[in-house]
Amino acid sequence: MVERFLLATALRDLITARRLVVAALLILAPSCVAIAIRMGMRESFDGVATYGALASLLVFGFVLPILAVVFGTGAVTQEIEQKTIVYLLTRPVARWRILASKYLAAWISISGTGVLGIVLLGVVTYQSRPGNGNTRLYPSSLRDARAFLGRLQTPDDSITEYLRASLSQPTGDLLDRWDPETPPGRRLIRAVLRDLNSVISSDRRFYSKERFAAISLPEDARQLIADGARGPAVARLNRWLIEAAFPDLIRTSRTTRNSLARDILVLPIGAAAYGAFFLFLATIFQRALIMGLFLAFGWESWVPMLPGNFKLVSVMTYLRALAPHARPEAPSADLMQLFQSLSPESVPASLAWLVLAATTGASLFLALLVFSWREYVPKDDAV
Amino acid sequence: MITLSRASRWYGQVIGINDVSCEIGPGLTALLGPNGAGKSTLMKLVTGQLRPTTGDVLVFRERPFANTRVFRRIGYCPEIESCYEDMTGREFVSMLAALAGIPSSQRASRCADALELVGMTAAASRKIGGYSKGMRQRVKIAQAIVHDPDLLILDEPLNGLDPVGRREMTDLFVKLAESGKCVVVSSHILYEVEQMTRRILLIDRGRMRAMGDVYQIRALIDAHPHRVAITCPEARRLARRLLEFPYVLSASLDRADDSRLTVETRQPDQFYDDLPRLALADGYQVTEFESPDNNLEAVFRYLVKG
Repeated sequence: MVERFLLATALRDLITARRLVVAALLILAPSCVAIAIRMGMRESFDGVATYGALASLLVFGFVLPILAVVFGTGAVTQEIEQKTIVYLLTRPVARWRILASKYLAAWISISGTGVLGIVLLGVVTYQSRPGNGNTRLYPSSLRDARAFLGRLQTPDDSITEYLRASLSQPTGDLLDRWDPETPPGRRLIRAVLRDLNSVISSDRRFYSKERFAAISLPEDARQLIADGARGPAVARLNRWLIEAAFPDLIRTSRTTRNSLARDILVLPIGAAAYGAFFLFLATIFQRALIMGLFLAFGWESWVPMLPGNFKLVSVMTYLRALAPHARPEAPSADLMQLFQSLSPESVPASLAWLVLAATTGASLFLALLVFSWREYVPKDDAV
Repeated sequence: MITLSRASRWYGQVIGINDVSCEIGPGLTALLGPNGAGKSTLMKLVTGQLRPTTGDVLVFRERPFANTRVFRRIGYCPEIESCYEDMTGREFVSMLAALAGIPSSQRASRCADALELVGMTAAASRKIGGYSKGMRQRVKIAQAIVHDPDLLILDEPLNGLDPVGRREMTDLFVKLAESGKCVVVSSHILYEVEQMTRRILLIDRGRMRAMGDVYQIRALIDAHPHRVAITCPEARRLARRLLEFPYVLSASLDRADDSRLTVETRQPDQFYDDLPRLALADGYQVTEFESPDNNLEAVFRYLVKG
């Protein structure tokens, strides 16, 4: 009973008018940007890519850390600054239970706000004719069948060579006999797609580092490679690889719905890890908010992009491994892409789970330990 | 109920309390000392917010730091003014009653009782943010007594209260003490303490200076030569007249301003009775008189030297 009461009180403390305004802004910001892009691009608007970019950069990269800093440190620093913590610490409730309730309240606030934000983003980027989530290629998957078949007919890189070589004998003959000056017939298209679909569905040798060396792979494809795609994931990876190799010729199979469903699950995990970490900071440092902001926007936004193993000391690296997003490639290589090309390998999802669980557990344990043991009496009025 | 054995507490280089030993039992005990003497530190040690640097503090025979068994029996009214500003007085008391373990079925009536005792029933539904200092003090006292604790630690509970409020709260503390509870009240105003109890602990600069009956301490204070500064155009003549009183120890004129006179006496009460009479009878125009000693700190200085 006391726990429920503590939780309700902690939630109430966190939900102040000022914080609600901040939370509302954070919920609305990614969607507002998406609406602006949608209005600017009109017909050429790509809902899936816009969702991926904004979910990755704004929701995971900005909204989640700032919420975690504000709510994670706010749970404790507010009581310490107002000195009202005295009332809690002189009641017959174990200190760790007080802090655990505050953590739970912070987690609910961070997750709730983050999930609302991403759902809204999913809604405003929704398109009725996006990718269907199916890994198979259909005639409608081809933006330009003639150009695509032309590339296959006269392979000029290792990827097209590989695909050409995996076509069956009759399909190969059909392709050779086709005059690229004329539109391809339905029989040819069906035959080629049937053969390519069998590559997509089960060919585990399609990806090789050398073959795709010249292609900038999206984050989600790199993540599948790092995780060692097996079973149905093989088909997903192969389809994404083909899309990446022929970005102008093949439509995306990705759907906002699939990414959204996964993001709704991963955001609370990020909230748990970041929330626990910032809570821990708040139990030790008086200026936890400023330190937290520095960590969230200095450390967490730059370290994941550093080359080598530096990125392994950032929570964001592991969150991105669990929720990789395909972002549209910028026309000019910016700094971020440069960094990314220096360390293209992703962290395997299994490692990400482990590290996030360990971060959450260790931070929370240390926070509870410090809170149970430390004296929270401001020095200036201690006498 | 409370035992301190050679307890000291430092904050880095600053001494909070230094080598304090004492026992406090049931009844009302006043902790008297000037600001910064260490009263709050002592109370924070007793209420388990601080640990002693050296020595030992026991409450109900246990170490109180973060000890929920001890907290179950303690009511604490901190000195801080800030509060949960968005809550109403009733919500504040109710929240802390819940944390004290009062089941929800009894909570409303227990809160109502506590708020009634401190005279806050009428304002209980208003937000604390809109409370005056005195009202804050009253709800802080309400949250300290709502769970009917055996030990009440009240840090400057009369600060900010008007004279009527002081009277009411003092009566409440006395009543609680008479019902067998141990009530410890801190104050830096001797007069305030005298109205509540005879049992006081004198504390100054972290040290326990005296412990016991307030009258004994009063006597010590009275034995302390008491200085009175008088401004009067005929200061020289007045000084000569005053020195005729047996209890006037000395009278000295200010070198810079010969209308100012400082008198030392061992019986200030008698002196304050006689001075106006003398002024009236002989026609001295006393324009100002004040006692630089009429505060606790001077008395402490004296006691420390003595």
